[in-house]
Amino acid sequence: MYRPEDILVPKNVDEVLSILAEHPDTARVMAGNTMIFEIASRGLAVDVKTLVDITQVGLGNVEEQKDGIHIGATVTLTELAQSKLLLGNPRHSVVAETAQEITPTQIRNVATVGGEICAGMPFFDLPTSLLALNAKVKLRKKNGQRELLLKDFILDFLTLALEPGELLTEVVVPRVDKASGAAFMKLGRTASDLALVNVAAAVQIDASGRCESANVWLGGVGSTFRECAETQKILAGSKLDQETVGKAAKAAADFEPASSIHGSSEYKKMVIPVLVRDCVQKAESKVRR
Amino acid sequence: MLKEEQRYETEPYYLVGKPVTRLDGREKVTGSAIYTHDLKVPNMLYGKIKRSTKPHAEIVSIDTSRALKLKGVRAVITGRDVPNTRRGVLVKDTPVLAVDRVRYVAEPVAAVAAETPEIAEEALDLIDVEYRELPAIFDPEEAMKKEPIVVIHPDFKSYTVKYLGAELGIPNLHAYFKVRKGDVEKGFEKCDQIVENSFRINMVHAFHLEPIVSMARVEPNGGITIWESTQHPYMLRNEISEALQIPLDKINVIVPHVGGGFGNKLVSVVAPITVALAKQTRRPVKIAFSRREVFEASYVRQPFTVHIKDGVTRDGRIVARKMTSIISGGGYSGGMGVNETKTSNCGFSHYKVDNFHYDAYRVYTNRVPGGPYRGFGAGQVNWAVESQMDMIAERLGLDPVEVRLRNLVEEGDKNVIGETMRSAEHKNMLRKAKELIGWGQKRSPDGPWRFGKGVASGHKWSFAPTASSAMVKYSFGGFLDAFVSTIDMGTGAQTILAQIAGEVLRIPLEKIRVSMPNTNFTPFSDGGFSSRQTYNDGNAVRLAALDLKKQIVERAAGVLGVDRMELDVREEKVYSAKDPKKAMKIDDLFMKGVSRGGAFAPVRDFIGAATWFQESGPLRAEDGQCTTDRACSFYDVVSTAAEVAVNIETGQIKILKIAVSVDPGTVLNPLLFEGQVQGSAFMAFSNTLFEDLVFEDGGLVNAELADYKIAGSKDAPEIVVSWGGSPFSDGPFGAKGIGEGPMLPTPAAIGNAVYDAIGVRIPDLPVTAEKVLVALKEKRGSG
Ligand SMILES: Cc1cc2nc3c(=O)[nH]c(=O)nc-3n(C[C@H](O)[C@H](O)[C@H](O)COP(=O)(O)OP(=O)(O)OC[C@H]3O[C@@H](n4cnc5c(N)ncnc54)[C@H](O)[C@@H]3O)c2cc1C
Repeated sequence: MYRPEDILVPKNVDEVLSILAEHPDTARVMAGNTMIFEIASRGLAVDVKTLVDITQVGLGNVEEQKDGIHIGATVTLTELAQSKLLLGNPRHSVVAETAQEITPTQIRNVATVGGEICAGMPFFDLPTSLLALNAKVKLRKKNGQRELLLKDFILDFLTLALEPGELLTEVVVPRVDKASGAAFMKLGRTASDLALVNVAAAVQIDASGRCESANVWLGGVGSTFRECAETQKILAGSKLDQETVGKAAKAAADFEPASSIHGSSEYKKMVIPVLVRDCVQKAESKVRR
Repeated sequence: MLKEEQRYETEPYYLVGKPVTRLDGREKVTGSAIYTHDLKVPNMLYGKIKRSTKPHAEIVSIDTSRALKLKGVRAVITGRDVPNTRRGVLVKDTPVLAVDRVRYVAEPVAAVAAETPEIAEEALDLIDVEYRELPAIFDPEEAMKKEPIVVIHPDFKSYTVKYLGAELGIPNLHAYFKVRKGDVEKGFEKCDQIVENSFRINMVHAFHLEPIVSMARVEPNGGITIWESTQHPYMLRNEISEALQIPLDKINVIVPHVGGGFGNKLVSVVAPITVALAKQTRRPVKIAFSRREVFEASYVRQPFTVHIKDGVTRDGRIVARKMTSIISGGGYSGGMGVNETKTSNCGFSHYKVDNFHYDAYRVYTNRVPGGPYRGFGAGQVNWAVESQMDMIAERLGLDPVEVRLRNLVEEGDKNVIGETMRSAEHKNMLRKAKELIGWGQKRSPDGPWRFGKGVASGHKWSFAPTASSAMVKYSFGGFLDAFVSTIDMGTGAQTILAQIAGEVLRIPLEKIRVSMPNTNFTPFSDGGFSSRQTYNDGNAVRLAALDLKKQIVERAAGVLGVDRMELDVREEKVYSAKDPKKAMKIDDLFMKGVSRGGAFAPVRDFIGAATWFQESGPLRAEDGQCTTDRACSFYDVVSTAAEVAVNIETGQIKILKIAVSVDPGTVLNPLLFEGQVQGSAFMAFSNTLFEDLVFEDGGLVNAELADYKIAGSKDAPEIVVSWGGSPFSDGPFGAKGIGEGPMLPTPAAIGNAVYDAIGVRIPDLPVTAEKVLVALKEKRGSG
């Protein structure tokens, strides 16, 4: 069993950054603490001696700013699931709805947005939705800060563009002024399962009722999340009629998804078009015109 | 004589049939109940087990020297450090630790005791085992061959076995059971249609919440105390005695609360090792399995392949039935797992068939041994039989309920094993289940969802011969202590026994305590399995309480000067039923103040004792026919009906409703009854849709909860429970046991409902969304 040598509980972000700067290789951030021991038990945290609790450093707010909704790294899934700010918007509500689909209440109560992203698991749910919303992440380290698109931050299974000493402080869901809607769907073996496949879709509709742009992402299909580029292309400019959506949904399965004991690649290829179709339609139905 | 004491045992009952909450409820929900896992004694060491990494190999050498040098390690033992014994119930084939050969991945090859679990764990890595790999058999059909690629137990002939089937010349066969009745070949000639199908039932785990755990201590007098989460303390005592050659009187087994068992904890997979380490170190040792070890190295529900050939008449009567079960037993006999060869008969014996032929073969394979699993082999066979019944109905164009009604056994019928059916409400249970599900009314499709309903019947015997004893003590102050070795692994057994004792003496539940097993002090019970405790331990408690009542009444008769036949007891009083003025407090029969706080009943304290022995006739080896008219204690008779929704685009199955109708004789406690029935229907539905132990080469690939899928509360369908039937004459206040029944027909009811919804049948469990979708696609492709 994994036993850290030390657990530190800093009181502000600067303190966190100093600790990380001092021990870039042996200190690791701990937020909701629902994954870190799992990661360690697979031998993926052998060098980690110090855990740094970041839940007391003031990263727990969801607020609206000019450029969009800012979600602090330690906002819990329960807080997301209940956020009025998110639920009130036909596009951003997908973040709350996705958090609701992460079914174990005990996990939702402590697991954080930052942890969902930084765990680096390509079948988690929240990243799929955030990717479909073109979310950005804000990163800080002792002498600097930067901002990346989430899709440039998540690189591969357990692999992020997170530098040693760096902390994810915020997720920004960009504001969209056009009529827009977004939805999330998930297929698991049981009702409270990790996703076998998940999908998120966001659509923007122009004044004439055409789909101006669509973002469709899949999780659970390989070593990282997958943007359905062909699907997006087919949807863009269309009226999102049944035929086009069906064609676009089919195109989403035009690759070899990863097999697991819970679902073969062939099975995933059969259900992806169904999920994508339903998800795009659900996203479209949420648009307020 | 006790019959006389039963004269006042009539309704309205005082406690029987009342929905009282369980005695252990508060401590369990508040987390204060003590389980074996919670125990810690001074000086305790932690044991860990080094396990085989090969499915089949010779052990060339085991080098423990590096492990022994690790600081904090107190002992490292191998098969050479323990008596060279083999244990088992019908087939004595299982060593304490592997000697010379390993037969499945995760088989124990060595064990360590150390000051901390971490040190013990580290020491395991320092034990060097050299193997020479042997060919392995995973496929039971391969294991059935007369010249298989390898013989898994080459020394089988030297084992002590109760082995039938030696004449078959199958070297990996180690248990065999057959039934012969009438002449099946002639029957096939006489019938109108032949329906023939094969079914596979997969390997799943019982998944009790509390992992396998035991603790052992060598006492100053040389005796050994074992604390274990077990379903059978007396059998455990025997097993330890045999395995480690320790006299019975030197072993005491204590059982704290048990966090679920489902058959898996019937025969210990850990205690011999715990005790061996304790003896070696002379210090208390505790071994607690990790969840991974529970999956990899404790008994599994054994996979069955069932083949059925039926000859039926146009109107749906089964004229002849020929069946085979091949059981993949794993590397060893699996404690009582080997008995499933015989008990699998409960999967088919609810149908009356004049010409019947059954062979059940249990073969060794290089997998973790299969063991008892709620239903004891009958569930596997019932899946096949009850799927087959629907296939017959379809072939003949008949209603599946009707086909069943034409073949189910009735009161007084001889079943296929030659036993006379008692308390056989099969037809009524089926009719009730049919009614509860709204048979015949079908919902119309909703988007991709298709709806269907299915039924299935079944029964599970509670085995015999068997026995249980009980002692009941009445103390000054009006309270009652029952001394029993009953296991309450979550079933509410203790509460049921308190209700029974309280009913006889009419004492409120708060004044009754029921012991937990301690083999030094509590009398014999044949264990918590086969749905047997309510009936057997219940009868023992009832008889012991009657014995106690008799003593009280006799003593009071002398004091009151009335005929004891006039007297009855209620709430701490003895009174005359004829003249209620003639009454006295039971406390007044005690003598007080002999010493501080002392009170005793002169001559002899009030202690009742009794043994309940349920006799039965054995099944003959040559034809499986019962030698008397009774083969078991009783049958738990059940029908399940299910309504499902199937998504034709994703294959997903939603269970909308499960209706279970049960004949429990008398319901002693409606809350516990409903809980047991719902729990077992839920467990069955989970293993029908989700559960599956998946192997790649030798090893299990989903030995953890993230990958072993189990239904959760969000999957739970509405489960409607009903009961019918009438009190069973031999049961305590007419009760039978109900722990296993719904496990049997529930899977097939679901499978049949899926077929009703989409016209696709999945013969091999589990019925996953993927299998459904693939089958749908094939069906569309073919027609
Ligand atoms: C039983 C169970 C069921 C689950 N079901 C689902 C499900 O259905 N769907 C789903 O999507 N997920 C599911 N999860 C995953 C769960 O949501 C994640 O475990 C959780 O989001 C991780 O967040 P955390 O705050 O607990 O992370 P932690 O365990 O604290 O950290 C996880 C990793 O992220 C790093 N990290 C955390 N925060 C930061 C930060 N701000 N900056 C840099 N690095 C950081 C940590 O160093 C660590 O490596 C489930 C988990 C469990 C245990």
